[in-house]
Amino acid sequence: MSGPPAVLEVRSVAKTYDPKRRAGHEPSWALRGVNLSVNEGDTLAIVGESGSGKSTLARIVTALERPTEGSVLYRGETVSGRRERDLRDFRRRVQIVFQDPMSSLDPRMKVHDILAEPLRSLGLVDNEREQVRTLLASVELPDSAAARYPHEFSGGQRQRIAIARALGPSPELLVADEPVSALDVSVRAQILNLLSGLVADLGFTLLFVSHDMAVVRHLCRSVMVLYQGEVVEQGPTDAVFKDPRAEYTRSLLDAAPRIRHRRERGDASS
Amino acid sequence: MAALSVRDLSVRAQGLELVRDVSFEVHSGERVALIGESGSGKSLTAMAIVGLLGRGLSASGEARLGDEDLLGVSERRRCQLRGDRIALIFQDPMTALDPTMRIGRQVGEALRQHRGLSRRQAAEAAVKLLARVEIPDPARYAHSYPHQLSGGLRQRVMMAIAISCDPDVILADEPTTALDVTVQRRVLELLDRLVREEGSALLLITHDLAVVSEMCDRVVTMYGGRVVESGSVESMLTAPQHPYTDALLAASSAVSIDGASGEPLPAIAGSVPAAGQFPPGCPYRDRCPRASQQCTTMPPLEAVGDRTVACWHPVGREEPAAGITTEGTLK
Repeated sequence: MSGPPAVLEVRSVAKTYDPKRRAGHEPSWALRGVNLSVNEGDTLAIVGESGSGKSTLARIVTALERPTEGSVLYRGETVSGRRERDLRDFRRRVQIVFQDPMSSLDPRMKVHDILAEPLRSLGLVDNEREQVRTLLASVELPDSAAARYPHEFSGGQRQRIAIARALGPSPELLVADEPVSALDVSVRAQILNLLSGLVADLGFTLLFVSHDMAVVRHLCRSVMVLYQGEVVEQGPTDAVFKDPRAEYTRSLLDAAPRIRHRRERGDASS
Repeated sequence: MAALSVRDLSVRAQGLELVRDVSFEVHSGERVALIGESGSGKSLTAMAIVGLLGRGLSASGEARLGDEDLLGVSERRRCQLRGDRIALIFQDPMTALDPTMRIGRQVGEALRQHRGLSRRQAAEAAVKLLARVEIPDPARYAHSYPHQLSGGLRQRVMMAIAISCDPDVILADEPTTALDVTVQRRVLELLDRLVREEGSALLLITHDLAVVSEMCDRVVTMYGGRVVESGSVESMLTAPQHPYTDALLAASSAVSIDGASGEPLPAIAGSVPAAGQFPPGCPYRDRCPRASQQCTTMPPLEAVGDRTVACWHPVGREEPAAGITTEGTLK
C-alpha cells in the first residue's frame, strides 16, 4: 500500500495476565489477535464493555504495558518491548488522559506543577509560566487555576486539567480512556466540545476509548468494537451505526438508552 | 394517599442550607424521577428522607411514610421502617454490601431483623429472592461473597435486599450509573418488573434522562438544593419550562446514538457551584441565558396545569410583564 505510514499500528497483539501461561495450559486472554492501524488526523473510538480489553489496549499502545504477543509500531518503528530510556521521544509524542481525574492528578501538587512536570521531565521548558498559562487557556481555565490544588475543582474542571497536562508536550497522538464517563451529562457535553475543538485546532490524532456509543457517534469518525478481547467490528462510524455487522455491536446499540416520548411499558398504564 | 410525602424538607450543615424547602409526593405504584447534576441536592434529599445523613448534617421538615413522619419518629423506629417499609438501592453495590458477609446472609438479614425469621428460614427466603432477581444458580451465589460477583449481579443482590420485606417505597440512587449499557438495560428491566409486581412507589435518582423517559411517570428537577420544576414525564421531556430542565434535556438529547456527528453540543455554561456558593435569588441565574435583574429574588414555585415551575422567565411562555399571572398562556 502506498501513502504515508500509519501513525500507530497494532499487529496481532495479544495480552494475558495469566502467570501459568508457560506451564503449557491455555491462558485466559485479555486481548487476542488485535490489529489496528491509525492514520494521521484520525479520530478512532475503541468501544466495548468492562472486561472487553479496551483499557488494556490503551495501555499497550501507550507503552504502559507490554503485549504478550505481537507488536506496536509508532510511525513504522516498533515501540513495544523497548526499554523505558529508549521511549523518551515516544513519551513526548503520545499522551494519555485517564477516566478518573481525581486519581490521575497528584492531590499534593498545585495545578501549575501538574502542568509543568511533563514539560520539565521532557526538557521542553521554555518559559514555564507562559506555557502553563497557554495550556490553561487552551482548556478554558483561568490563569488563577495554576495556584490551586486539584480538590478545589469540580470533576469537569479536573478533567480539563488532565487534558491540559496531556497537551503540554504537543502530542501527535492523544489516547483518552473514558474521559467523560464519570461526568454529568451537561459537563460531558462541555468536555466533548472541548475535545473536538482541540482536535480541529491542534490536529492531533485521537484514540478514544469508551463504552458509550452515543459519545462515540458524536466524536469519532471511525470505530472499533472489542468483545472479550477480540475485535468484532471495525469501520467508519456512520456505516457501523447504520448497518452493524456484528451481533454484539447491534446489542450495544439496542441497549443504549434513548429518550422516548411515547413509552410502552408492556401493561396498560395510565 | 401518597406512599411518601415530603414537605418542606431542608438539610443544613454549619449554617449552610444545602437542601431547601423540598416538597413532593410519590404515590403507590408511581415512579418519580429526581433529576439534576451532581451537587444539586438529589442524594442529600434521599439520605435525609431515610435518616442516613452524615455527621454534621441535620434535616428539618416532614417525610411522611404512610401516616408516620420519618423525620419525627425515634431512631429506633426509623430502623424498624428502613429496610422494611422503605428500601434503598445505592449506586455502588460494592461499597453498600458487606464484603465479609456471604450474599445469602445479607439478603436474608432484613427478614430476620424485621420479620423474625429463623436463620434457616431466612436462608431459604434469600435463595428465592435471588431467583426473583434472576441470579442464575441462586443457591450457589448465596454462598458467595460480594467481590466474587460482577457489578450487574451485585446490583441485583441490592435489589433482592430492597424487595425482601415488600416495601411501600423504594429509593434508588443512580442504580445503574456504574454499569455497562447492556447490563444497565437488563437491570432497569428488572427494576421495572419488581416495582410493578410489588406495587411499590419508586423514587429514582438519576441524571440520565433517557432512563427517566423509559422508567418514570413524573419528574422533579432539583438545582441548588431546591425543587425548580416538576411535572409529568411527557410534559417535562417534551416541553420543559424551567431553563435548567431545558438545558439538561438539550444536553442529554444531543448526545445520542441517533445523533449527528460534528456539531457542537449544547452544554450548560459553567458548573454547579460548591455548596454555599450559589448566588442569592434563583440559584441557577449565573448559568442561565434567560436571567434578568428580577432573578435576584427567588421566584416562587408556581403551579401551571400539571406543572410547577420556579422561574421568572420560563421557556415556552411569552415573556410576562412583572406581576401579571401567566396562567393559560402555555404555548
